[in-house]
Amino acid sequence: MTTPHDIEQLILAMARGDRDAFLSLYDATGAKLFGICLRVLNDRAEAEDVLQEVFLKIWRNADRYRVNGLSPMTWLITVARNSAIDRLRARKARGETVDLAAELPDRGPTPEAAAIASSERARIVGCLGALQPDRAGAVRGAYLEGLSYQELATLYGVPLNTMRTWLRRSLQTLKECLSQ
Amino acid sequence: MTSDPTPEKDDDALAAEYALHLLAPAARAAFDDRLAVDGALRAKLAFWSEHMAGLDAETTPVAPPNALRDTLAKAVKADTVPEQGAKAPSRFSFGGFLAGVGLALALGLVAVTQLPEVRLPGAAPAPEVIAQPAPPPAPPPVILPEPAPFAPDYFAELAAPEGALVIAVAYSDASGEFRLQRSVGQAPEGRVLQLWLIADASPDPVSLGVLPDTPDAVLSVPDALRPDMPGATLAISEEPVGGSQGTGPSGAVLAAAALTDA
Repeated sequence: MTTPHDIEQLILAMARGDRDAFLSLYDATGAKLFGICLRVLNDRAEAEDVLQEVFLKIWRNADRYRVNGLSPMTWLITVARNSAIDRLRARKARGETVDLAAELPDRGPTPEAAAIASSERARIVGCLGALQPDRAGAVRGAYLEGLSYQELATLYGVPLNTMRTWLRRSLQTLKECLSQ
Repeated sequence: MTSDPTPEKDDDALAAEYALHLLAPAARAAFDDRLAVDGALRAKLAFWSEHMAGLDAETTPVAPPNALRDTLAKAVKADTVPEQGAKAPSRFSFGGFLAGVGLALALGLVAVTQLPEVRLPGAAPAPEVIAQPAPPPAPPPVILPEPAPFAPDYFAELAAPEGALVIAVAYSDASGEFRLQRSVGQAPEGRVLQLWLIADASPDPVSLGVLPDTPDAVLSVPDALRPDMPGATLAISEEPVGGSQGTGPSGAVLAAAALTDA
């Protein structure tokens, strides 16, 4: 089991150019980050491509990890998720059609995930649970699948500005709940 | 954006939208610029990122293919880091490591091995021979005026992130040639593209030559390098005209890919 402290040490070693640390980090986190890329992209070949890009970014930017104030795993997840979303949007910008209905399986936690609930997870899930279900669904869709405002608006059948207002209000409510 | 009650709340909402990747590119870039100088904003973003990452617990890990680990190991092997921690980039940018938009940031290589430049058919006169210090000694590449019949044994697709550059590569053992076809993208203005081989057995990237401006190119591989193809990785970098002046790639590596059996 790799602890957050272990992961941080690996990142710091990578910042000093330690390639073994890089491979250890890959072994410890590759499957998790690949799962995230797959979740967003729904395409294995693209997810593999993005995962490669993600680890190279992590390698190159390991020395800047401390600046952002994120915990090590959150930093890695953020790099992976954002890279996957960028790729997803590039694909959509090329006009490849996206079936929104097909993109929306269930957003509920899997049983395994429920069993490994972290305190952060319990917190966010609890606070999302306090929102109306469709509003919580919109936040989850944005985070887990990288849906844009426009896609969320289409999905929930509301005008773009309404969706924006909706989501911002939901985020404010969420912030109050998370800060308690 | 004007109806938010206070700047404080506005920033909270903005940080949340940034964390969710909901901002339009211009707004995201503006937020990046603020992040670079605004610690309070970084703290707001960290708040959202940490909490939202709780949702990732719901995502099942999936083992990536084994080949990817090898490709990464080689790419990092090529990415020699100079001593005294000179890895720090000159410009701080959150976009670089959070959004990860900069190709140049994806992987920058530092000089390792000096090699002769390959001249392509019709590109320039005879190849110059440059003494090569590193083992294994490779003779200068040869001009191929007429490509021989070509039966590829290996393929690779060099694709930059976001599909900004795509080059299909095929290699034939029989002719010892790489055939390249650039279908998307080109060298940045005033720069050239250079192809590198990272052999399984050797730690240093070896130049296979500078690509011409034309979409198609043929590169002949020196005899000494031909046995290195199985398991090798190719990389493409952008370099000053004439190719890297150093002993390895000097510009950003735009893409890398393992050679796979045809």
